[in-house]
Amino acid sequence: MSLIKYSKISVEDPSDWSGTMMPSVSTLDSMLRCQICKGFLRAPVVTSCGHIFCSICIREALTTKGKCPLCQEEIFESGLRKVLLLDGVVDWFKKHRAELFSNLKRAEVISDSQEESSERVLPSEKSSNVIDLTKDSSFNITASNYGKSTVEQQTLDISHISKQSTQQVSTASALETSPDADMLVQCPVCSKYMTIEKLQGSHIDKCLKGQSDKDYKPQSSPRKSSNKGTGLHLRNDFEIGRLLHSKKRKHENGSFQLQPGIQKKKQRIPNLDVMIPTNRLREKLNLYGLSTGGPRQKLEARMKQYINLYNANLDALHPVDDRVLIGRLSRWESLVEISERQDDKARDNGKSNSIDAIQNAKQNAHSWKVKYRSSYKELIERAKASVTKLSKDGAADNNALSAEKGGDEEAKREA
Amino acid sequence: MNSTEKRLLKEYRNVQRELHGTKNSSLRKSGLLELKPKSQSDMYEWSATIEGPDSTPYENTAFDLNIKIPRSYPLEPPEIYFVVLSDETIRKLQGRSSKKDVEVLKKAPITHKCFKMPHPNVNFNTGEICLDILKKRWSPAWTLQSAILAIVVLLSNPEPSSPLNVDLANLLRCEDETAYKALIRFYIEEYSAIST
Repeated sequence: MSLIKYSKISVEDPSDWSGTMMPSVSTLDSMLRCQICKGFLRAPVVTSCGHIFCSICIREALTTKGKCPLCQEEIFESGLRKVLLLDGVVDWFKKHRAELFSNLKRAEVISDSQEESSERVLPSEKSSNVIDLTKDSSFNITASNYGKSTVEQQTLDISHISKQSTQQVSTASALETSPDADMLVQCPVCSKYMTIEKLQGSHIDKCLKGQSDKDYKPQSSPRKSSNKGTGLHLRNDFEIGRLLHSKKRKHENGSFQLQPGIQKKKQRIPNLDVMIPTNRLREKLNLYGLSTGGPRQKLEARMKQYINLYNANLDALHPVDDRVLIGRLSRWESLVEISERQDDKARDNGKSNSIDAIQNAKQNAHSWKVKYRSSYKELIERAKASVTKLSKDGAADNNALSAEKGGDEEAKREA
Repeated sequence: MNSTEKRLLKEYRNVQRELHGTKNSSLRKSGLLELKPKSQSDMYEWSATIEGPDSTPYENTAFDLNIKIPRSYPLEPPEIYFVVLSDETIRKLQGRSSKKDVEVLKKAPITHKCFKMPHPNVNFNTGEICLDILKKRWSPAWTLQSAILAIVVLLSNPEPSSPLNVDLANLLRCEDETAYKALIRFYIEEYSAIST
């Protein structure tokens, strides 16, 4: 992979903002990034220790090592929770980043030229300029200096906002009178409000039997719940959410934290049991429409990666179809294969390198021996001499025979 | 482009900006002089240059590092080694600079590059570094930049209890600071060349 190939790809970086009117946006920019991939958060999840990463990144990281990358605390995949609102926030920022950037940059160019001209007169005037900005009269001047387009943009933005807010109001009022909201009916037994299907389906029977419907949270009145609009903690949010979701195409209001309904029905795939027999593993792969070829190790890796991809997709605000996931999996697998091949190559090189190194070391040892042969000889002679001297002394002292033997042996060993 | 390459590209962009974008880069001040891929064609081999921290025997000296990045980065740590050249290569490099330069070099303080690394936690012959965050305690939240900065910090905070250079570690354990510093200085002056 060459750098030249990448030179055309624009890499967004928090430091981009340092040259704009608002350098502090870089903090926001970096806060919306995952600490593992350094990219913007995709389907963010929060760990049990309170840190947020991309769902897929932290799942892959946990497959390698069961610790939080930021605080090293032991965490588990089962403890990960999606943060849908943040997904929406990141989405917004990603969508409007370029626009925000060019606006802040353009303003910068103009204010730069202003600063330069003021600096040429007196450097101290620069600070007074800043204060002037708060005064109405000078604000008008600077505003006009920014150029017509910016002003137009601003007014446009305002009208857009007001449009949005009226839409919001109309959505809310529509909700209050909407048939879906009115469809909530009161149970004659326990006086709780619910949808008619729910009441006729199972609730009325349970109520009559005296069982409390535990999974059903009571709603004080239908009006109140609809006033909350996208009240997410009410059971009925699902219905309202669907309603809002269909309207979402027209205007991006409400429903910031709502995943498509189908997504909720999907179950997470449990983690792979490493003791699973190979044929069962193949069955499992087949069940999800994955390839069953390759050795056991590959099958396991494939299944694990698919589980990660699948479960991460469940955390996304706008999930993709399973077929897209299978496409991603095969791309991942081909990349792994390439890197494995390269690793093998590198290892072969490394082997020959290490063989070379050993041979070099042998040669070095040999040349060392040759170089210092005379010094070694001298040392050996001296050692022998001292040993014989010692043994002679020992013989003179008491046990002559054994000491001489020992000395001889030592001398032999030396030789 | 896979996720590893995407991330490496981001790190590259970020480091280059911090190093060369501003005049008084805080990265330079903290000891990182350069960090980039070795060649245009391979994202998985990087090199770095660091400067020894002030008031340590390594001050005013630059050191090169080789970085090998595994395909599974950042889940696996990068392999970072100090560049260690053979005696002959260093002599050749030194031979290129004139005698006068060598005199200046001995007097210091000017930044010159050393091609051996005398440090209690660095293998003198291979340049291998013993640092927990490069092995067991690695976390994907670390970057190449932060790993290199951790190595700079290691230069001023040697850990003699897990040595790769036993001689230097022993001097440190005996609290013979004079000998420790003098030995490091000796090696640095012996194996340095003026960096061009």
